[in-house]
Amino acid sequence: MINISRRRKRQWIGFAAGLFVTAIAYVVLSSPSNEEFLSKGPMNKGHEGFSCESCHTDSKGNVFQQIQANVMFVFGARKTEADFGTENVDNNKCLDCHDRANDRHPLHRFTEPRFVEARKNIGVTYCESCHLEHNGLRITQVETGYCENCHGDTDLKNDPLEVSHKDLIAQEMWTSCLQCHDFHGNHIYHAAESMMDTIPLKIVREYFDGGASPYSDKKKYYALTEEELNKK
Amino acid sequence: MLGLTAWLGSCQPLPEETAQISGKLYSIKEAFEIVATENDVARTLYTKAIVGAGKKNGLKFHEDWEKDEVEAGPLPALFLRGIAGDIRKKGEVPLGLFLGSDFPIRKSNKFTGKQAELFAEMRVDAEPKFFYDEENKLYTAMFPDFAVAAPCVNCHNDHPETTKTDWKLGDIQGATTWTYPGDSVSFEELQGIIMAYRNGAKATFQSYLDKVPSFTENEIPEIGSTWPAAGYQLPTPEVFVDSVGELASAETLKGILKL
Repeated sequence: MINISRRRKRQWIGFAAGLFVTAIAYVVLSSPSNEEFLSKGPMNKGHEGFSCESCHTDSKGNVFQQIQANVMFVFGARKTEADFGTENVDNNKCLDCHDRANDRHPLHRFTEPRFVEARKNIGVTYCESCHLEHNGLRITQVETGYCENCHGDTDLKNDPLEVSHKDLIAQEMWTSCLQCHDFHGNHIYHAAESMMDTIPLKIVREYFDGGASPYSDKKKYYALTEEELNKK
Repeated sequence: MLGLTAWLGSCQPLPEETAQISGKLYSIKEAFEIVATENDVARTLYTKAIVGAGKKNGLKFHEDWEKDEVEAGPLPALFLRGIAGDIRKKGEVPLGLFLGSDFPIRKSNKFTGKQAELFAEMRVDAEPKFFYDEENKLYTAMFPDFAVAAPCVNCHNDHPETTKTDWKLGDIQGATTWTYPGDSVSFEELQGIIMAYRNGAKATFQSYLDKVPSFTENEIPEIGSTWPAAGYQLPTPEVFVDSVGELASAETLKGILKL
């Protein structure tokens, strides 16, 4: 019989209890039916019902290799860090489903040096600058006048609008842009030619928050579904 | 601690995403010059042999060519934009390609900041410009876009939204901007850059041909080994890119051999 002090006994009991709770938590939270407990928040519009693995794919290598790679990185024996557990959800993950040839504002165009201010102001080279996931919305960018970052010189000679674009800009009516134009240009519709026919800003904001598209229910390209992505 | 070290060291190291390539043979300036020459050849060929000759034989080209209702192919600048997009989307090489001008059709393509400063110098000396973009941490080059064919001049002078109507052949109409994260590249990386450009040209040409079968108001051009100069027809992407390779080969080889 080993003689263990009461204090050491309490330490062992505490350790065992912690291990037990951790094991239970791991088993329970690993179950697909409990994914919502791990989620940072509700999925954005269109992503409802997605499994975590749709975006949070396993990172390369096993856990030992990942630890080893990051230790090597810390000591300068490796140039890049390794993703631990799951891969970083970056632009490429979004573009796996949402990439389309007709994107009017593709991210890569904004890496050009002259867009430095736009990058600083609205982080336009990252999908999540406007579509931050786990917020239950469609667009998390709260400003609706962001077009001012690049289109301040717009002056159309054959302006189709009854009030010229130049005048709208002179009056700093930047929130009016989205009342006619969808940012990514994927909806099939004809933009309004009269201010009377423009989409009310309130409706645009509702669209940001997850409401129906005020531009059109027809799109040229549709994002891949989770099943289509898995087959890809 | 010894155990931990042994444990971590016992497993197969995780390969890095970026391949470890030794032997940086070319400065990024040399690499930019090679790929910019390829670009000059491809753009000139597209402008003269596809757009110029095609227009004479009934083919149409339009800035809204991607819209379903527009039965046309891409204008040269949009052809280049397609190549730039393809390079970035495939992501095989971290090469950036952009187009701009001081008199662009679309105001949002007007150079600003450092690019505007260097383009003003380029207007005077017609020489490429190189700089390091501190904010993006990218080595950057600007090469002049000369008006090499009649369609460059005519389309820009006649465009309803043009900001300059007196372009003439040989003028610098704008510049292509190229970016790359490293200051030098290996032969394999240079090869990757050249092939990313050529594959981008092939893919963009293919996307034009993909649209052709949907034409309803216009006759569907024949696609094969012949060029628009011979009639209402288009070459395959392979024929187009092979011609780019053939026309660029002497200059590209000079660049690779550093002659």
